[in-house]
Amino acid sequence: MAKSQVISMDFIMAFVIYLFALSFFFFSMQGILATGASASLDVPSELMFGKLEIVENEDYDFLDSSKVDDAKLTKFMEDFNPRKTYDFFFVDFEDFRQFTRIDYCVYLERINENSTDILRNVAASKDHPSQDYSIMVTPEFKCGQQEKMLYQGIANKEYPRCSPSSKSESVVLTKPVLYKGEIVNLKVLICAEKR
Amino acid sequence: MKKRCRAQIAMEYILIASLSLMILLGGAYFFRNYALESNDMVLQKRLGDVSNQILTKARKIYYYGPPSKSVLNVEMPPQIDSMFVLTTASQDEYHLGFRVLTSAGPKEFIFESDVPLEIEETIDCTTVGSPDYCSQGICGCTIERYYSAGIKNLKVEASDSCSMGSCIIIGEISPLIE
Repeated sequence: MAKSQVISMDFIMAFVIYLFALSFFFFSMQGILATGASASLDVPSELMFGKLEIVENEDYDFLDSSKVDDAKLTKFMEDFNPRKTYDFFFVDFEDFRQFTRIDYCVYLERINENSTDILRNVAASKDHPSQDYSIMVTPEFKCGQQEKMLYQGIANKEYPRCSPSSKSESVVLTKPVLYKGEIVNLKVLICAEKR
Repeated sequence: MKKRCRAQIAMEYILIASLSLMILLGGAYFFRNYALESNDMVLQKRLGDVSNQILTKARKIYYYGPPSKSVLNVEMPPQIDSMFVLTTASQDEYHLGFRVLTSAGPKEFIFESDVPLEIEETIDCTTVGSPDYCSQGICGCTIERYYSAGIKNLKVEASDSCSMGSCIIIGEISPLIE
């Protein structure tokens, strides 16, 4: 065997062994990097409540710092539909890179020791002409369809909640406010469907 | 003279073969040990990563309050034998725990949680061979679907109807048939 042939054979063998080691390494590492970052619903609450406070039309300006004006809230709820409410407050929070849709439920909640009272609630969503929102208070009642929903007893404690789909993410932002002379929680429930 | 030379060559062959065998076997032994150790280290790192994802999300969702919910996509390594949530007897410390099969036998790892945890679908821990840590408090062991190898959709949901008041409920909501 010529000397050059021996050297080239060594090179080929070394290359094959190198390839084998490389493929073994990647085989053992497979799956470790398979999961990417999960979509996360990060909405800063200061911005959200700041947005709710800034309403150009005085008649609908129901939130003034930490006070909720019931007359203006009623007017707002009567005149607005979910799509308009969405465009009014929440369009800036769209995130189509991570989510296909985001729905909102704005509600006032009184917390007693033994019950949860939803005092008022209004929905905000986009492109749902059938008003088939993903937010619901119970499977029967959807956010925004009733002005007042009352739940008594700790066993029946219910919240507005998002669809139970494995693709849905939900976050509730809370701000204590003064409403009709009592301190209640102004809450914004955000339901998002992941891509 | 010719016979002696042949014998010498044969002896050299034997020496070279035994030397290379010694090096090869020694190398293989060290490589095997190193590979097993690395496997355990990789497993430990992956468990730490999975736990960190779950516990960070749990803390965030807990402070948002009910009904906040998030679904995490995590890949469970294949060596997990059981997964459990440990609450100390005094109910002021909470841990997420795993029992895994390492090269040195079964080993348990626990990760401290800042917020109370509960498992949505639990089973009696004795059916999965009661993790040792369970003797230090109250254990909730998950069903196999939570920790079997592969990608999991782990639901992290805030609730205030837990046995200790407010807590985070961990569930697994992967579709049964994809």
